[in-house]
Amino acid sequence: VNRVREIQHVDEASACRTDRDNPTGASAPSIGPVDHIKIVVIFERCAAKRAAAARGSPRARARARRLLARRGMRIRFDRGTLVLEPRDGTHANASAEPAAIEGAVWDVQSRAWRVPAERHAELIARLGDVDDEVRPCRLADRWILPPLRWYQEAALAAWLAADRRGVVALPTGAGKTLVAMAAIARLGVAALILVPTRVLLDQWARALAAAWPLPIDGRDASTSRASSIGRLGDGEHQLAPITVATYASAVGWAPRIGDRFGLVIVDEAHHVGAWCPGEVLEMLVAPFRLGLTATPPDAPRELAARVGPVVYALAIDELVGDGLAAYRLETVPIALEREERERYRTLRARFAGAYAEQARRGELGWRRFVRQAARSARGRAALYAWRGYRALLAYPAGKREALRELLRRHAGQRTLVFTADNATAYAIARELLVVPITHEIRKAERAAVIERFRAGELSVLVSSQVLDEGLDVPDADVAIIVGGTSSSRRHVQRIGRVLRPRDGKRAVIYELVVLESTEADYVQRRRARLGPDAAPTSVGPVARDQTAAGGAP
Amino acid sequence: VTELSLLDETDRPWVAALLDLVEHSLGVPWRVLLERVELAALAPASRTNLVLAALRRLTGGGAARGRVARRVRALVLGHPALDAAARATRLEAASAALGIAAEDLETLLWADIARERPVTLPGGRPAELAVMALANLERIERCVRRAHGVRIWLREQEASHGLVRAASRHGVIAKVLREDAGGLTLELAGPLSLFHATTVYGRALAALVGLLADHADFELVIAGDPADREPDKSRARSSASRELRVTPPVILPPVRVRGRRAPSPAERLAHDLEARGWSVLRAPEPIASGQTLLFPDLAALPPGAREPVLVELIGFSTADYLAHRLASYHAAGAGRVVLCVDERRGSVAIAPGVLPFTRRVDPDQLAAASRR
Repeated sequence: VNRVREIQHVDEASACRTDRDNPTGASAPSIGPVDHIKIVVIFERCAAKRAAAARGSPRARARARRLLARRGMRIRFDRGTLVLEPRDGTHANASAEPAAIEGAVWDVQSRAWRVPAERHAELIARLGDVDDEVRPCRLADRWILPPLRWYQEAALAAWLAADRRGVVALPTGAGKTLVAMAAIARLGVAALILVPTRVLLDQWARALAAAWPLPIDGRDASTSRASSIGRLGDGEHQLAPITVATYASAVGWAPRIGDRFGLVIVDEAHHVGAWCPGEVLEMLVAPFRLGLTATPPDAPRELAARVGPVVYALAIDELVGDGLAAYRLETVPIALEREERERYRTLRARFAGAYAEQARRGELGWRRFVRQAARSARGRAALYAWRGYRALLAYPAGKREALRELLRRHAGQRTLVFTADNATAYAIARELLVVPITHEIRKAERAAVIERFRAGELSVLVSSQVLDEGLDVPDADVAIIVGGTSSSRRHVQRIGRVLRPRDGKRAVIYELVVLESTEADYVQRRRARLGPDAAPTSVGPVARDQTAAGGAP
Repeated sequence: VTELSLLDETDRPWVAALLDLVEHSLGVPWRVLLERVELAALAPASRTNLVLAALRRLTGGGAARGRVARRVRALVLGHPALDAAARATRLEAASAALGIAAEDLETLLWADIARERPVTLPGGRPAELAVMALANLERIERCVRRAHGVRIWLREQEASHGLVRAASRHGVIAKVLREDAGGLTLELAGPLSLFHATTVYGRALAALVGLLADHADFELVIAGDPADREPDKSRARSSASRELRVTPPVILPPVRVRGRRAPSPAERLAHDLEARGWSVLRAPEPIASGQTLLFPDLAALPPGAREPVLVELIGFSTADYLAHRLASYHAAGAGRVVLCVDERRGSVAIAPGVLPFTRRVDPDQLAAASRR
């Protein structure tokens, strides 16, 4: 992947990847594919070599260290990697000693030894006597931070004790940003904050500018756009000792600025390895790393490797009444009407029959089922039935009535309504003439709606996914979960939306659950992360659905 | 090289059945229609999706729908209307403000949401052939947007000049080669050969595909990874690069004759130069440089001069491409050449004979460049 970045960077001045032998650039059908293959081969070789080097014997590594020290090496940052080269400026050579250094790879094109930038600290510790040109700058101490709450202090202490590498897991609204700012202040080194969305970029930059104001040209940084805080993303390319970047922008910038920061903070760190590519973190020298999340992943291999293990975690129920607003989680049992129930049973049976038949053949797994189902009329009918009963559960007449009643009960209070899908969000919005927030609504319109909600012109927002994460939603008092999936991560994020603390606030969360359906099973599964006190409350005669429990939808 | 699989007469029955289904689904949200089409399984999903995409294209009007929908939502949606009376009052108020019937307002609420807007056929049921032609165009355009390179061979040299000029107008990186037998080959760089603005470039390149309908004898070869949801997707992915060919007969929509449009930068430059006393010949005859044909946009003769300045406006470019272009002109014996390169489509390397511009070419700068 570093190779790909490198080629992009080298050729950035020219708009087209051209063949040297065919300077027209007009048509070179073989060029694209050949480059692509070449990149893959180099990547494979790097990986293989790195693995081989990692297996090197301790004796060989000790020998390499001695030789390197004797010869005198220097380290410099170059396009997301560290280049190891002789101090006297002579060319490195492929058969030289760094081969024995773990992770070192000989780069044929630039004729230099390269090591992933993230291994900088380790390399310095191993090699000892080297010229190190990679030195992130230090920050002046001018922080204006509010006092930390007990759990924020504890999280910071745990992170500092873990060699300043690790993930802090706190519920939404518990003040993770403040923990991060305290970490930057405590270390006093330049910091890069990686965030998933442009909305969060703006949110972080504003919070940091308020805490670390630096007047530029006589203007107050906390109120003007000329901020002490750098921004990379959303069309802005402003670098500063404290910089906030979106994951997407960081991919392009990391090869150029990876040596400028001593601390990297990853917001919504559960996205590391997916939305936030691990390569971004590989290209940063920052030895100190802090991940922030409300919902750490279950198998955080990539996150642990790039950022560190979870060093501190609290569930929602452990903070209720202290760092988070007190809340009441109320389950509203919904019974299907007779016709609905019959239809549900018919559709469910049609789907379950086809699914069970496939399971009997030993072909397990939802994806496989979908693939197979598309090939036969019966399979397609089963899928159609699956969609049908899910749509039925998403918004039956009982939920309709319950939702109306709840909104009536909380008239005038800020309320967020969460649905299982966009279609339901639109259905509710059409019925009650409230505003839906979905990814299909344009950004400008969404921003205007959020602003109206903040100003109190709107009291209800309805959404399926967009409000879950990454959008700065104003504080709300009531959440009504009309439908959802079994994902406990999403559930925690949704609940966190109404838990921002306020004097005397007691949030209310309603979960509408259709009795004797797969939905009851979802509810039990998604509550797992809420904490020990969030055991399933009475949801009536819940029927555990074997198919659903077995991994099918 | 594989023949690109397109819709033909044999597909007509299921396309007709699909249109029946669409007619029966008028007024329901598109998502319902999509489910019905999936259940009916009239043809492989990739094919039915193409036809549905063509139908959406045929009905058009997305931008206008978006504007109306946003206005309706801003007026109609607000605090929850929990009873029928409150709801009716809100709708009536919005109806009076917008001048739209209250019953239509609900339809317009999600008119810009692809899956929620109601199925409509404003012009009535379209002919199967018209839908198939649009579906084919959609299919070819999708492949072109994911190409490393595109090669178009045309039998008639004279008739092909329009296509070459169109390529130039759209700013794509093109090279024209003539054949002794009379044919002409247009080699175009594909969007995947670029690092920047590949979507914009892909759209510009795809705009040329529709013009092939005017040519009786052509061959279109698309090189790249055409993984565009065809049934043979796995095969397409297994070979990193392969070529797809399109040859007549192919059902394509007739080329639309566009009405008046804003003058191109070349036309505006010609006008500005004439205002300064230059004598300007628009779209002069192509110049041969070996096998390559060069198509200057203008041949402009300054007052009192004997040799005209050849001017070519270029959209996307690279430094190598420009250098090669200039060398070709000089090899063809053209003394004074200025390549005007659009800065909005990539960085332009400053070189003699190269004049960067944005939106409009400055005639004075052109005159200075031609003297250099």
